[in-house]
Formats: sequence, C-alpha cells, structure tokens
Amino acid sequence: MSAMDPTEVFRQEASELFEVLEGALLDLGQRPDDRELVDSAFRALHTIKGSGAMFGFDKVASFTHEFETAFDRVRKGEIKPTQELISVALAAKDYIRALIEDPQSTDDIIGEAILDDLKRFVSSDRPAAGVAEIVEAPPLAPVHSKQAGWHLYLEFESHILRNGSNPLDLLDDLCKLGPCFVVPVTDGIPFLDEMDPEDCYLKWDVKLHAACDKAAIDDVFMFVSDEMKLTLSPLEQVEAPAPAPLFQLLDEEPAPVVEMPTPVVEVVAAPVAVEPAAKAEPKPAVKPEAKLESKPEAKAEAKRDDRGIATVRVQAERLDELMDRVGELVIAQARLTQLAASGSDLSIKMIAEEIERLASSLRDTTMGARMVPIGSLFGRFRRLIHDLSRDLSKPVEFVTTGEDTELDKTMIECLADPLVHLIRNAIDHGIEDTATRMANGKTEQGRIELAAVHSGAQVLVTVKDNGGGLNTARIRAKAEEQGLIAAGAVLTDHEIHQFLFHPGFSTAQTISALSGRGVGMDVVKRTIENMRGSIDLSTRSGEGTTVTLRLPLTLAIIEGLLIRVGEGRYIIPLSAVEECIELTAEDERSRGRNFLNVRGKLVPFLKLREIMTASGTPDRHQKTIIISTGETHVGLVVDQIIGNHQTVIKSLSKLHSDVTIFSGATILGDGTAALILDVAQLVALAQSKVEKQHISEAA
Amino acid sequence: MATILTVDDSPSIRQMIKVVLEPAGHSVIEAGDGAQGLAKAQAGKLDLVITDLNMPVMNGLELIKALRKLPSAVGMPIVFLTTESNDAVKQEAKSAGATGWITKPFKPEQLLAVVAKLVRA
Repeated sequence: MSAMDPTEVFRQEASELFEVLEGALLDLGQRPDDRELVDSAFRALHTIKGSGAMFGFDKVASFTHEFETAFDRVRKGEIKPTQELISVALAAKDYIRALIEDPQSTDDIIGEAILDDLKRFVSSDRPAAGVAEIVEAPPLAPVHSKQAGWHLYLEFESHILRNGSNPLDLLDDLCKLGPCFVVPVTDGIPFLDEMDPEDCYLKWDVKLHAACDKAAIDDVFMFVSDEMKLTLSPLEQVEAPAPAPLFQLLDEEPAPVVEMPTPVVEVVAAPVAVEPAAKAEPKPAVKPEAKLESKPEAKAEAKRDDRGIATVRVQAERLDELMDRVGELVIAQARLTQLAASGSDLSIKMIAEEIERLASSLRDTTMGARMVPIGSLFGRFRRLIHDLSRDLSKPVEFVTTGEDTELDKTMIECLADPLVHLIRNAIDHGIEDTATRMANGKTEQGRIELAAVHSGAQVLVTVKDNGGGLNTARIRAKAEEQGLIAAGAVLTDHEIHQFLFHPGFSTAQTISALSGRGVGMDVVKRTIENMRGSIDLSTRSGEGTTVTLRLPLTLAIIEGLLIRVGEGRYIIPLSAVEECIELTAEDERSRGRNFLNVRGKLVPFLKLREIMTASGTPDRHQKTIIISTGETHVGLVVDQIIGNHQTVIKSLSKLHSDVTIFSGATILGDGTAALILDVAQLVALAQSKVEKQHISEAA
Repeated sequence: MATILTVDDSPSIRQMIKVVLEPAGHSVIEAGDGAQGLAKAQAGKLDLVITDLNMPVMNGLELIKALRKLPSAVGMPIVFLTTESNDAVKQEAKSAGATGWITKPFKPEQLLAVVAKLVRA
C-alpha cells in the first residue's frame, strides 16, 4: 500500500466518484425532483475538487469549482435539472475525468465551451453574470463579508442543569443560526471524588460561521444570560470561500483539530461542523481509505467515512496471488488427506481433518474477498443506454435489480463486453421504434431490465427487453440460406434461436453503426463459456427477448465431480451436474441410438470411453451423469464416479488451445492431473451427433 | 410528545395553554394552584411545568422551590408566567430554580417557541 503513488489513490477515488456522479446525474434525468440526488452529485463533485487540489490537479480543481458554481442554482432548487443540463453535466464530468486520467488528451477550450453551455442553460431566465457569483449563499453557508461570524466562549454557572436548562440544547439552538464549530473546554472538570454529578463543569468554545445579529445570539441564551458568562467576539474572516456547508472538508477548514485544547468529550454541533474533525484522520495523502469496489448508490458518498475505516484497498494482483496460494494449499491439503486416509495414525488423521477445515474456510474467505457487487458494472451501462437511446431516438427506461449480487472480480471484468453487446442488441434490434410501439399498443418508452440473482452456486444475469421479440422465421430463413440446416428440417423455435450464436450469423438487414461493430453474438457466447458459464435466450413475439447468462461464482476454484473413464480421471463442474444414474442394460443395448430414457424424457448421451478412446475393459456397471446447460440435457457415460472434488482450476497451455472438450486441468491429491470437461462443448457435441443422426435417418 | 403541567388559578389561561400545546403534540395536565401542581408533579413524570406566580394556597415561587426539592424534578425545566416583566421578579423566580419565563400577555407562537426551546424530542 505504502508503495502506491498517492496520485494513483486519488485517481482511483476519483473514478469511483465519477461513477457516483454519473449515476446521480442519470437518475436526475428520471427523477428531477430528488434533492438527495442533487446533493449526492454535489458531494462527489466537491470531493473531486478538494482532493484534486490536494494532489496537484489544479485544473481539475478550478474547473470543478466553476462547474459547481454554475450548477449552484440547481442545488438550491431554483432551477430544475433539465435533460440539456444533465447532458452538459455529463460532458463536464467526462472533461474532468479526462483532466485527471489523461490531461494531454483534452484542451482548455473544451472546458470553456462546457462552462459556457452550462451558464447559458442555467441562466436562461437570468443574466449569466448573476449565476456565476455566489451572492445568494444559502442561509446556512458562510457569507462573504467582512464579518463572517462570531467567536463565542460559554461558561455556565454550575447549577444550570439543576434548574432545567440544558447547555447542549442551547448549543443546538446556536447551531440553527449557522454552521458551528464547537469545542468543549474540559479543564474545569474536577477529580471524580470532588465531582457533583448534577453540576455543569464544561465550558464551550464556539465558532459560529454566520453573520447573524448579536440579538439572535442573545436570544438563544435569553433565559440563562444571568447564569452564564458569554464572551462574544466577531470572527474576522471565513477561512475559505466554502460554497456550502454540506461539502465542508478538511482542506477548507484549516486543521480545526489543532485548535482543540483538550480531548473532545462532547461535541455538540450540526453534523456539518463535526465533519471536519471526523474527516481529519482518513484524509492524509496516503490514506488507507478504500473499498474493493465502488458502490454506485447515491448514498455511497454519505457513508464514505464508515467505509474508509472498514475497508482496505488492495491491489488486484495481490488478491490473485493470494488465490493462487490458496489453490496450492487446497491441493497440498488434498494430498495430506489422502495420505492420512491410507495410514492408520489417528493423530495425523485429526490434523489432516483440521487442515482440511481450515483450508476450506480460508478458500471461502479468499474467494469472498474477491467478490464484487455487480452493481459497479451495471452502473456503467446507464450511460451507454442514455447515449444509445438518444442516438436512436428510442426512449428507453433502464431498470436494474440485484446490484448487490456478488461475483468474482475477474468475472465482472470479463462480463462488461458481452453485456455491452447484449444491451446494444436489445436497444438496436429489440426495442422497436416509437411509431411501431405505439401502433402495437405498447408504451412509447421501451424498457430494458438488467438483473442479477444468485441461483445455487451460480449467478444468473439477465438482459430483458420489452421489444418485438426474435423473428424466428427470419432466423430460420437465414440459417437455411447459409446451409446450416436443411430446408424443411423440423426444429423447435428454441433450436432455431441457437443459430444466433453461430459465427458470422446476422439477420440485421442493415448494419447499423451501433450493432455492426464490436463483438458478435458468437463472441459473447464464447466469452461466457470461457468463464464456464452458459448463455440462453428466450423470446415471445411482440413481448420481448430475455437473454440469460449463467455464471459460476468464481473462476478460480470450483466444486467438481471427479470421475474415471478407463485409466484417466476427469472433473465435471458440479454446477452443471443434474443427476447421476446407472446405465441400464436396456440403454446399453440400444446401440447406435444414443438416447437414454430418463423418466420418460429422451436424453442424448455420449460415451466418454469412446470420446477419450479409453483402453482396457469398461467397468461392468457404467454410470451416466446428466449434465445440462440451461434447457438442454446430455448424459455422459463414465466408468466410475469417484466423488466431489475441490477443483483448483489451472488453465491449459497455449499448445492445447485447440482442445475443445476440456476447459482446464487440476491437480489431484496424489499429484496426478485431471482434465476438466467443458460442459458447453460436450452438450454441443451431443447435439450435433443427434442432428447428424436426424439427417442420416432422414436420408 | 411531552407531558406538560400548567399551573394557574385562571382556567382561561390554562385553557389557552392547552389549546396551543395540544395541537403541537404535547399532552397537557392542569392544576389550579401550587399545591395541586406539586401533587401532580409527584404523581408522575413531567417534561415541563408552566406556572403562574400569583396563585392561592401555594404561589408560584413556593411551587418552584418545592419542585426543585423533588428528586424526580431535577433538571426539569420550569417556566413561570409573569405580568410584571421586571427584573426583580425574574431574579427571584430564577434563584428559586425556574428555568425561564413567559411574559403575559403572550402570543401562541411565543409560548410554542419557549416550549420548543426547553423541551426536546
């Protein structure tokens, strides 16, 4: 951590803040009246400004300041955030981001143009000049004037509490006049045995940042004026032109902690005033503040302080390393368990069990540390949808659910591109244009739902649109045209839709700038399958399409089913296993017709002995493992089912990149390697066999 | 919200206090003189006492002193109503243990402001 460049820390923090800002701005487009969103956007801006100045991003600080000032009327609720304003604000955000991430890539002119735009929108009903000044500071904010507040020293008579006056209430009232910085003076507190619990020993030193009348202060203390000593002196100047109390940060309130003569016993002040003190600790340049991920909720910023303490930012590579070590540990532990099981030494067995328990909890903890809520990913698409919906003039409502669902961070990274593609497809091809929607009696606004939900050891991510649905006839025609199926072949709609995942398959009549570039559906499928996930789509004509991604929770360690075929041992990911049944003699007899009867349903099966060209005699009782990818079930015939195995996945070398039916390898307890079967490929293989059979039977 | 005892020999003043404070969510208990007021204060926990000074049987000053001797009334705010807004009376009542005062005649807002100042949710 200490080796990390503080500027880098700021960049990371800023990029999280940008997500908060962008989220808040986009939400504002939907709910322009939500003050919480405005505040959240401003908090993010303000932090960027404050930290930017601290880390030498002067341009960022000055631009953000201008931006903040121009946007001030929105914050005060004087003008509503219109779509134009939000677009400008988003552009400004992008500009600030560029300033931070790659200052060379941008120019001051862009910033000036954005500010001009902003001022024009903001001041549509008022001259621009009036906007840029903070003349009308909100009542709570410090005012730019010679006298910026009051310095009070409060000393109450000791019996004050007994007579029903509560100094804390009085301080509360004082805080209502404006932001207060209250420091209790504790030097009057006697030793415990001399102390009367009903007496008041505390004195207070208060800085009131409000240019209110002296009468207003006297009013606060009207009942106790004869029972207290009040020293009142005007405060010369506000330390910094703080725009608003909510955003008051340490960097604008020069080290108020230093002024504290004694430890704080009780600080009574508006939350604003307490904040600088609370912020003081986590604020130094190399602050250990961090989270593993950013949470884009609007309130994220508000909770910053707590999270800063509760979380630590760790470099991703370190987590990967840790995972590798845990993987090795799990393998070593498997060997130990095997060794202990073969011996008769009870104490070794006990130790082996203990280590097994520890290793598995260490594995779970490590995997947990790598988990990131998928919400951070979802947040990115809001901008995409906002822009696409504008470019295509298709108003789209974007709904996300299950943002809290956690996935391995590597998965989150890998998911971004496929999801971008699916969302583009959904808007470009799924959602109809407004005229068509109206004609079909649908709402003018389309709807895209992005949802994530846990399902066993898997996470389901769905992209759902309420557009026109897939055009099955057109897909079929295209498939026939490309020679993928024989004309007139009997296929279910579901089977026809699978052609969408064929490389080079596109039914788009015109290739638009949006969907024509980037990855295709086949690449999406491949990416998901590389993550040991599966993709499935369902559609209802006129009602929309749902694409479902099933993903394992992690890429590093999976629960596997260890099986034996001939001499070789293999792993089937347990998440794909539906059930294990014995291959009956009757099934065995139906040679050539590779179907099993599973409770009245025909399931194609593959004999792994044949695929692996295993030597030796097969076991007498062959077992069948039913695996599935979504809807499709396939049986795998094996010699022996050995049992569950904690599978630490090792990828195959590049030399084996053309091996399709294996997705990786693992090391077993005895040190030998076992290959991990690629379920999706096996299912595809079984299906192609079935199709060939169909064709040969038809011939 | 708060339980407030109003002690006054004039029912109309008590009524006025009741009419102002009850809509603000407080529950108001009435007493016609200091002795009654003390009995009510002994009977249950109060958040605030608003008392007149000139009353029969036991006057406001005596009530305040008596209340301050009750263990349950330590730190309880006591407000007195006074027509003579002169400092001598105030001083006397304050040294007897009163927390604040309201000068008669008062407007509902003034009463509410004083109550809000002394009674916290």
